[in-house]
Amino acid sequence: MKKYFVYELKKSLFVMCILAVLTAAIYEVSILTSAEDILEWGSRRMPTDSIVAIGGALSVIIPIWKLEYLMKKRSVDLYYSLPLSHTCILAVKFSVGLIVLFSSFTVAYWVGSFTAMATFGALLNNVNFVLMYFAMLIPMAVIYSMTSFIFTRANRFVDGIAFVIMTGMSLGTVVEVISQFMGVYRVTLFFTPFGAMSLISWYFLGNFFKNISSAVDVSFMQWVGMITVALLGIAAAIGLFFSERVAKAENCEQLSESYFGYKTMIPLYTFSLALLGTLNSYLLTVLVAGAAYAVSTLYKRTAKIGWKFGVKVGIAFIVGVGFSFMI
Amino acid sequence: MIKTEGLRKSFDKHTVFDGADITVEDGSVCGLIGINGAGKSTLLRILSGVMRQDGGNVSIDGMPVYDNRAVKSNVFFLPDDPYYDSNFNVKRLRELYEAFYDLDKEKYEKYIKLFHLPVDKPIRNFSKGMRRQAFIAVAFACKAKYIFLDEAFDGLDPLCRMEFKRGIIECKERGTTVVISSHSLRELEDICDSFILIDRSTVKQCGALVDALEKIFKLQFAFGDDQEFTRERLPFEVLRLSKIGKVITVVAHGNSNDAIERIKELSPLFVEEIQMDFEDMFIEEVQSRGYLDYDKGE
Repeated sequence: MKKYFVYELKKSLFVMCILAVLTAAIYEVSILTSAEDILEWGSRRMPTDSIVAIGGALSVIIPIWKLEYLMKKRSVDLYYSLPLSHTCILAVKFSVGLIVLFSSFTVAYWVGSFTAMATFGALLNNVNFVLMYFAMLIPMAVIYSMTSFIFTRANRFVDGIAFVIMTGMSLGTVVEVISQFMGVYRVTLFFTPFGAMSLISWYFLGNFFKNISSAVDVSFMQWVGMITVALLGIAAAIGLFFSERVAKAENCEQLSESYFGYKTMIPLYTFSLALLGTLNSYLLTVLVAGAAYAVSTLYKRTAKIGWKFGVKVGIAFIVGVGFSFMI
Repeated sequence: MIKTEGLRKSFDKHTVFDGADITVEDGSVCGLIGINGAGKSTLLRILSGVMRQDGGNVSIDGMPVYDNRAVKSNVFFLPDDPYYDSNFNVKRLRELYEAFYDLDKEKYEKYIKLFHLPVDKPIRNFSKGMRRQAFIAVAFACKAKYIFLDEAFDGLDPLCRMEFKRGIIECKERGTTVVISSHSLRELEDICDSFILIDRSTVKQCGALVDALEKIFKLQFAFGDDQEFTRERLPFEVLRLSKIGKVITVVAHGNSNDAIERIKELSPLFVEEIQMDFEDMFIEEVQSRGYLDYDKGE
């Protein structure tokens, strides 16, 4: 396993360097182009959005790159026949991906941060760069873990990407629907991994550890959102390795029938978006119906989506539209 | 020794194996044959631990194969369409397998030179045959005790086939067990000492090739009378009977000398035995079960 780990790490070095240089350049540019805002507003205008976006994007792209071997018959033939257990191969790929993620992010983050410190000095005195750095690694690991789990529920690369996109916003969508019913403060964003990550960067930007009163800036529901996402991340990592032990090679490139994918997500989104869309415009209602059918054809890989699934999606749509009139 | 007992494997409603028993002795070269879709590749994937059987036992050297590192370190599997990263050249291919096997670098280089494979060119730009040559070099250099080759001769030119067969014989002499699936039965006959015939979810025949060829024979004969000849007139059970003009050809199991004597009792114009090879045997075996049999189709 050690030999394979070293091999996999060596093989990933080039990509790691490219990602580090590319993301560092993006962050650097975003800081320098925000110079006016920083000079005027100090840490309140520190452009954390770009580093959050970089961290989030890396946390999604890297696990997909590392785990795509499970989506092709040819690579499954290779990796499953090699003299290592399937779980060991997954563990190596997963941990090397995490190293690539943290390494490239670290380079980007510190290149940008040092530039900011050197350029704006005392204006950023209240930014705790070290704590913010470590705090951002946690949601990144959560997103990485969730993406790994969700992506590998699919049997085909395209399905894996679709699963990641759909599940990434699913919890937030459900919370949004509930919020509409309850008429409560919108907390949707904090129930998505990216929202939670954004919140953490903002949280640490505010000099929390120097001034404890900043803690009131994070509401109870925001905490709930962040903790929920973190727990999902841990559960995803456990699920990833557990499911690999029972995974079947012959399912590779077949229809993706996981309940973490199309099967659940299409009816869920159809219901939620039909409800939310109808609240705004009937044109959106029609668009939701069209989108539901389009994604269903992607799932079934044919225009004939089958009556059973069709009925399921149809009911979700009708119920969604019906509920919109109750709000 | 490779052994399967009551092997069962299905894909949804399609049963590939329904109680297959196979034994491959150590140090043998075994040809895995069967019609398209018979389950040859599936069997090799099960034997190499890629797939798990639904039922029955699959063992190599007495140990279960699936997800068993100890067994798999002695196994090398070369699928019909092997995987390589898009930036792989022959050096990087070697590095991958070196991470898992005690690869004989000199032997690998020897085969790369022998096949005249470009060292720096990406494998993705190789022809199908060249790609197979690169993987064959890995197979021979990885020192695995068991080598499983799927569609082994696919894409190889005649000279490479010769070198490939020579390499397999060298492996056999070192005590390596090789299982090869192929439709090139004449090539298999040159190197195999045993075979497995898979047909309709089960193993129809398994054992020494020489013994199997001795158990089947083909005769040609003709009678002077003009009456319609049916297989019922023959005093032994035939696998296949065809008639062109007065000349009748039969394929049957058993002792050919006995059969010739029995036909002679019917006073034929002539009777002679036609030499059968592995391919003939395979064709007769599967056609006797109705596969692509136009006569029966009509």
